[in-house]
Amino acid sequence: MPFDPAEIKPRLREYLLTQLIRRPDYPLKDDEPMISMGLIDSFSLAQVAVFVEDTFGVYLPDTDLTVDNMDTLNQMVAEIVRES
Amino acid sequence: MDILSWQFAAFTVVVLAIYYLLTRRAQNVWLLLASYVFYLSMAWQYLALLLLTTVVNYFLAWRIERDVLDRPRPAVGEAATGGARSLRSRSSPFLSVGLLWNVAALVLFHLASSTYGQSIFGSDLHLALNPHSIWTRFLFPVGFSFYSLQAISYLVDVSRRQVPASRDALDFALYMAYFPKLTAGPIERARGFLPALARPRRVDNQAVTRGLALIVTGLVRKLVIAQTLQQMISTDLFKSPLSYGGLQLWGGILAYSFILYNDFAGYTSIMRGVSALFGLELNQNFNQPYFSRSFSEFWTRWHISLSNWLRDYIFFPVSRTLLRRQPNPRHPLNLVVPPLTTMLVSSLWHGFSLGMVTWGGLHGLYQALERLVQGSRPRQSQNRRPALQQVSSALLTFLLAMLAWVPFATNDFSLALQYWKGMVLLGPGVNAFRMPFGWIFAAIGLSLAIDWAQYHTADDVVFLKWVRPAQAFLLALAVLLVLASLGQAVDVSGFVYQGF
Repeated sequence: MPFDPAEIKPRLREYLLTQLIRRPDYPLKDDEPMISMGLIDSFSLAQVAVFVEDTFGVYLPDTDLTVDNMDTLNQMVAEIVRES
Repeated sequence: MDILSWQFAAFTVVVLAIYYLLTRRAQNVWLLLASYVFYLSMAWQYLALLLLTTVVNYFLAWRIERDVLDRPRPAVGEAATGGARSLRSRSSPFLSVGLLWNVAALVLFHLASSTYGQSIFGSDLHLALNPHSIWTRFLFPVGFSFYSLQAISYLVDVSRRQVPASRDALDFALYMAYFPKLTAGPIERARGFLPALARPRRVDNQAVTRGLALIVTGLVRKLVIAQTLQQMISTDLFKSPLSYGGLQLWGGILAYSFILYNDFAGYTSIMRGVSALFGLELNQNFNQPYFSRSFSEFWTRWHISLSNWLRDYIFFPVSRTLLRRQPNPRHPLNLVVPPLTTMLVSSLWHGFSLGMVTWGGLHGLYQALERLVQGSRPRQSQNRRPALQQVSSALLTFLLAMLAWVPFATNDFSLALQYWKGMVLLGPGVNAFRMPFGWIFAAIGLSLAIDWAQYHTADDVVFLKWVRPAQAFLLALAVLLVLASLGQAVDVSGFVYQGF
């Protein structure tokens, strides 16, 4: 059974703000482009993928770690749900 | 058949004319035949190798899929309990066979054309490098470096169940051989391209206009900018740098940076335009790379199809494996090894020489240093930084990229050292060649103007949105400049990246 996005989003948001953006109080919007606006680089997606594996047990294929699939928080959550 | 030739133009027109009369399936057959004729016009040996590569990879993919489908998909949550590792280990031994086949061929062909290869294989190979020998063409197949990467990505994606193994031999053969991307990319992925081949194509007036606009833009880049700049630098600048003065060396590498960019971006634009006329979209390969404000941004803008391939099949697997061993992302292992490994592979793909390895090593180092300097500092969106900061970052990135082009241009480490030394010492030089800096800056200015127009609209054919009189004037100017460039008695047939 796929994950509920409501379970994934807050944990993923916290990880992004504390570990990648490193600004816990940053008002990250759900549809704010992170990679295309240069807030995180696409190479940080390897870290996101390992976090998702360890936390949710979902494997994100390397070829899905793209700007098209993972630019916003909403897109990341959708990708996790899709792969679960 | 050279891309920039009347023969190629006539060939494309004939293929298009018949193409528009056919059904979708017949269009694919026709395109495949045309692609084979195109490749055959270069050398029958090239076509023989392409056919062999196509057949081998086509059937290997079937075998891989059969092995992978025999194993059950992991349950949700299994990745966290080591399932991800077991996922990766569930590949077929035929994947290893396929990877070995394609990589070994790549290595063989690159070695054969390098000075190291000639010393390894001995005089027999050297004698066989007689241009009239039938074996020579087998050893230097134009386009092999590009379509072999496509084959590798296809096999890996099949093994990961991201794309089903194609059961349509014709479409798969067309995916491998499609002539607009055959000789120098873009490197297309099967998961996007095969479905596009299976869909009906709709080529309306807008698509035709867009295709023609891309072709005209590409011709301007290749003929007006790249070819003109090429004439403005001395032919032996990168072979005998010690005989040139410091200013000539700086001017030369500045010009080379824009020659390489406009030559390759020009080629890609022309081929994307040609492909658009067939209703098949090829991926963008350049996105104003010299406006990049960091090297991580540069490698999302330069030779994008190759960069994405390296990111997906080298960088991410290496990064994820290292993060499992050393979870601290700021550990030097995680900061340095992935970019260096990726750029080393990239450099060897371009050529087996210390010059190329130096180029790749520099870029790997640049990226590692960027991440080290970033450290634990809070991230800020590049676009929200003050304009002056963004401009200075872009200038610094360009300067470092330009310096890294030296070993790429010389293709020799000791010549690169001589070149850099000359740039630092700024001596007068003994070679009397006078570089026309005014014209060099004019050509570079034109390149930057095109880039700027595309950059701030994120549209590579932004000119189509201008008012009609402006479009007409621009088109007339472009045609005039292209014809003026063609009127110069120089060889315009080659593209730099066809040599890789």
